[in-house]
Amino acid sequence: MRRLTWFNTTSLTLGFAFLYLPMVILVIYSFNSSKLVTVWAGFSTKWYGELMRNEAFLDAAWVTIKVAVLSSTFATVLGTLAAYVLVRAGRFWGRTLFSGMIYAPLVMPEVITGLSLLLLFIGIGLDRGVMTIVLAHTTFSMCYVSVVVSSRLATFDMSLEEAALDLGSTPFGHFVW
Amino acid sequence: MRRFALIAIPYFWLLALFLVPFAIVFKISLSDIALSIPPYLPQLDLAKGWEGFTKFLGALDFENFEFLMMDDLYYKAYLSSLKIASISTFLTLLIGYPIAYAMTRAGEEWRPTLLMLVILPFWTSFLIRVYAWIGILGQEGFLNQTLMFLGLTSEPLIILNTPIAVYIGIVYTYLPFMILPIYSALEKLDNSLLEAAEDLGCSRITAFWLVTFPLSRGGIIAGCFLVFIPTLGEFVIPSLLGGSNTLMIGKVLWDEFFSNRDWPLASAVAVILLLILIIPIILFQRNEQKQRESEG
Repeated sequence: MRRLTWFNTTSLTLGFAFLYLPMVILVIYSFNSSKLVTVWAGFSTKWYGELMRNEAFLDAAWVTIKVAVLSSTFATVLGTLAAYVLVRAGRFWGRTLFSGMIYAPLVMPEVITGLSLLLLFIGIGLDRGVMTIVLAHTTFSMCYVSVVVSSRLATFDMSLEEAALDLGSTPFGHFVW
Repeated sequence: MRRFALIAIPYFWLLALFLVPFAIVFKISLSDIALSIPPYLPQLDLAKGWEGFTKFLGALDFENFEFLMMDDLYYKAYLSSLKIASISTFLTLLIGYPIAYAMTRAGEEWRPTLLMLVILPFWTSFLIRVYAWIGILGQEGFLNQTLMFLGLTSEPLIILNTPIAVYIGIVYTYLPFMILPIYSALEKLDNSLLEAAEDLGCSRITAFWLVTFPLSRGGIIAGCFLVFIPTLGEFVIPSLLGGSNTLMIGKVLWDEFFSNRDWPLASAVAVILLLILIIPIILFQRNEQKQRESEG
């Protein structure tokens, strides 16, 4: 392995310390037996026991898992489709608008996307619940998916697909495999 | 036909859930606050047909925007957000660049691990990471206890609920967004260019400024946009870490909507924020596409 200069070693050490120390401290203090966040009163796992008995927490955790599974599934499918369109579909009407709608949610402040979706759901009379959270998360997560997938597709060797087609694969089949 | 369906599905999804909502925000920003459900007027009455539509259009006006111009709270909040976003973007670049650079200087076998370590914080909730800083920066927090234990200060420093805490929170949250694009730009850099520069008599530092830095420009630009644009509208970090001393437009918008229930004014705040952001967003998209084309 190449030797790192002292400058590079320092920036890596300090950088990762900065990124990880807050989380490490948080984990350590979760084993604190005191109720006060900042006073250490000995090791205890009582807060974990309390969590497990807390109905509201368990419900919230279950909703979180549902939202995560559903929105990541939809986002992956839609995002991959969008990436395919972006890289392979060539020119079509409104392509600039399409790519704008893919990149803009990546940087759009959450407060704007959140507000506009809330007003949309109110406008069409959709009750806010798991479904609206999933719709919102799918929308901005699919943009992350499509950026990652399209950068892979762009560097991907087309001849592999042509070979699959030559060997009798259907267009959908070679897309999946 | 199949091509049409392929394009139409993601296209219409984004139109319906990304573009149409903005149109609604724009429409509401032109209405007036009212004691009704929903709390603004006019409402479009489709049952009255064309007449209802023209009456609806006639009742829209730019009053909320005029109000935003008159009241200096808002313009101060926009300026303060711009300042906080610019300074934090610069700080993030200052801290992120050396980390990204050092990652590419590490041995091949280490790079996937280091990259993973940068991505990993994304997998934990952003909210939890900001909350962790409350425990660290508070008067009796971890930082003050450590500093006092070491004898560096005799009285606890007041950091929480000041702009400094907001800067720390923003830099901490957005650091990976800066590191990743710079890393991917630096990683593609051809090392023989540096060797050539050194053979031709460049010192290491000159070689860095003449070769490495310009060639990583695409990554720097992408990173800066990825930090600057979302920071400008940030409202969670200033609410949790900044106390009442930090004025940011995202927080103003939030209060206007949920505390004052003035939806039209909140919408107008959002429309202006969007207008400020539209140029950086277009530049960001151009930069991304240029990089994509140079790759492909």
